[in-house]
Amino acid sequence: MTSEAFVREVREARSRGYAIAQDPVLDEASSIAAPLIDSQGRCAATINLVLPTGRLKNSQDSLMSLVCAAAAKLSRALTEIAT
Amino acid sequence: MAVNGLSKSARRITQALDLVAQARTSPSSRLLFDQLGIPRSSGYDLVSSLGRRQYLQNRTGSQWVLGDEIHVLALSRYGLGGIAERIAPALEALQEGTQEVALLAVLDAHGHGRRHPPAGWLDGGRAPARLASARSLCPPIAGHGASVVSQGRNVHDE
Repeated sequence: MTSEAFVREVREARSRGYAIAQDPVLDEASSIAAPLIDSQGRCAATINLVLPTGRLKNSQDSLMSLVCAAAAKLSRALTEIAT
Repeated sequence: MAVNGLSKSARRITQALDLVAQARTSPSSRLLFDQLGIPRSSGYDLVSSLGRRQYLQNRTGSQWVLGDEIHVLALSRYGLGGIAERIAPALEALQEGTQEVALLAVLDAHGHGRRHPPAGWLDGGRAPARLASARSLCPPIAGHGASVVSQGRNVHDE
């Protein structure tokens, strides 16, 4: 992947609120990730789901929703403790 | 005299934690005491004290692993200590809901040079782990296989 393509992917992931990596390192091993956003709007960490690529293709939307919901819940907790 | 004693105690505590953290398999009390070079009575006092404060945990009856308080300290390094108690349940729920492996990943922006890689995985919210030591520091969540490190990456071995 070129640096330009990488930056483009990062920008797209940021605008979507989640990232999907299909077979980035190992064949048939993929990942869905969503950020934990702190009270200052920064990404403090990410939640990642590691799964077989076949499952990603079949259930991407539902799995992505679960990952984003978990990340949103922890993001809210981060904001709560800061206030 | 008292300062020297305190310094010696502090050194022993850090040595004990280092030994458990760096061990490929969880050390027994006897092995720990031998490696620390301390008598059994002092050793039991030490591990009992660390166990009460949850810096060490004796999960398998006779073998020691790093305790939950170390996990909280590691999360605090990344500003996540305040939600440490909520992270493990969230990851466990995600794993149960998806039947896949859930990880918390942090980017280490503090820049600690050669000793630490730039990013780390906190596998299943159970224990702090760096890429180089994830295997020994990450007990698996019940119902899931152990995590292993392959070529510097954290890979599920189910």
